[in-house]
Amino acid sequence: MTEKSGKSSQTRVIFLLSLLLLWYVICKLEIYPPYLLPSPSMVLNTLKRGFLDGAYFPALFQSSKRVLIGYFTAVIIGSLLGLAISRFKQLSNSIGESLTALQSIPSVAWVPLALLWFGISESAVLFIVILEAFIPCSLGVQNAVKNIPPKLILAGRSLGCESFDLYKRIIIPAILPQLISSLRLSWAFAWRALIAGELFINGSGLGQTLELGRSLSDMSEVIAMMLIIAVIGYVADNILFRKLEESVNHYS
Amino acid sequence: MLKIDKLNLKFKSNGFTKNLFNDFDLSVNKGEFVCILGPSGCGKSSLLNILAGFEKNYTGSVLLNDEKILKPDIKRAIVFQDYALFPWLNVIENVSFGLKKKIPNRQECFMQAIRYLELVDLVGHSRARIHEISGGMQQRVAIARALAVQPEILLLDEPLGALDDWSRRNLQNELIKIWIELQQTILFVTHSVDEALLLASRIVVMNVNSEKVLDIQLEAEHPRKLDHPESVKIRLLIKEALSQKLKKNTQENAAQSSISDNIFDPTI
Ligand SMILES: Nc1ncnc2c1ncn2[C@@H]1O[C@H](COP(=O)(O)OP(=O)(O)OP(=O)(O)O)[C@@H](O)[C@H]1O
Ligand SMILES: [Mg+2]
Repeated sequence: MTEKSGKSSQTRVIFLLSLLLLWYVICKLEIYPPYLLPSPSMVLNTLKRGFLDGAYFPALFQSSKRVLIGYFTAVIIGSLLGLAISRFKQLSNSIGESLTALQSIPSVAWVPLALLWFGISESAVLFIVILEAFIPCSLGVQNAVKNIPPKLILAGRSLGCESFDLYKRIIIPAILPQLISSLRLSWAFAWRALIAGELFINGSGLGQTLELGRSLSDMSEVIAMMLIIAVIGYVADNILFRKLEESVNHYS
Repeated sequence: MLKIDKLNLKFKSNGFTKNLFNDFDLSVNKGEFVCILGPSGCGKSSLLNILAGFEKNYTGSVLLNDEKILKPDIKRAIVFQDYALFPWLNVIENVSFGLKKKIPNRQECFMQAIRYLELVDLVGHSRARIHEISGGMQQRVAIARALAVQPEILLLDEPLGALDDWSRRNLQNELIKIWIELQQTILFVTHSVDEALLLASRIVVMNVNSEKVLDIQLEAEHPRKLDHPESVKIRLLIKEALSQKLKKNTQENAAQSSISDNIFDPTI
């Protein structure tokens, strides 16, 4: 098992190194001018400067704050809505189905409306993040509740669980693995929506820094931001949520 | 103790209504081990669902100790064919599930649960996860979970149907032991005539129209043998009751529906 995971992390490192090498070679061959494709060392320098003189920290802090507020609001709304929809048939026929349609609208498509309603502000970004992130959570919870074997509910009820107890002792534990998967999916949506939203507002944030880099034609800044966004996304998704998913798996 | 009078249950399914149990009557005394036999679809599970309190849209009277059955209650515990254990809990947590309200203290709760795990010979597995134990063991956990709440009546819906022969035989013996030790009132639905002959203190046979066609007491001591004269005699009676009613029924319903061969397949 450890040998296997050792092997796979080895492959991962080799793959990343070859990508880096490819990038380096393309730059060395000067196929594209540096202002279009900066070399790895230029990006590394930008990153180093950004962290060493502290310029990135306000951006990281602001973005994290926004995404966390938006994300937690979204998953609370989403889970409760999901539970409510699976409880009441009328809700499922009305809201339940429109959610699927809503989900197919990418977050950038909401930007014009959000800017119009909330101005070029923090709230516009939060709006987009919440809107994007609550849907997968709600759909996931709905689906999870639907998939609980009915006999489990019956068994719980005949052992003295009704209403609130039924949620606390049967429904929530039964959907927990799928709930965590939905939270993970919601996170991915929140993170994308955050960056998309931040591109359009003022103030500090990863998206803004990226947009600033674009307007100054500073491609190494742009790529540095993209790397940071990717790393944070990866760490949250593949390390945090993966661990969480494993810890609630009923069969491990 | 259990008294069913003029029971009717209506189902509305795709437009037309289906009536189950035309004025079905059944009385069960304390300490009886009643096996219910009948062809598939005759309403055995529906009957247990009513008794468990899951189905309240029936008409007629269904009383347990003079109390109308309208909702689930730990006085009536049910065991399903597919165990329905909670996979997020381990064995002992499953068994003590129904005790939490009665015994808030976790330690005392477990002590009580252990007694029932002993009854089904599973103390050694009390900390095991559900998916780590075999089907037979899972069903024993389910039985212990149902018994732990000390129900007045234990309802079992084909509990041994999904098990291999060996586990089935083991569990049959356990059930007899439990019945004798706890003097538990048991209502047991099965497809197997032999199983009923081995276990029951009374056998009730239903036909496709959910009418009671046979209701007979068994006197032979446990453990029983299938070649015991009483078993042989009652098996004949059961087969006769079933085939007569089936024939009559086939004639009656020939115009509307043909009854397939496997509608009742007593495993002999
Ligand atoms: N919720 C329901 N809606 C409509 N019809 C139902 C419902 N539940 C049961 N029935 C019908 O009631 C009849 C009795 O079903 P039930 O499950 O009680 O039979 P059973 O005797 O347990 O059969 P089996 O031996 O196959 O388990 C069947 O004809 C079934 O189609
Ligand atoms: Mg059934």
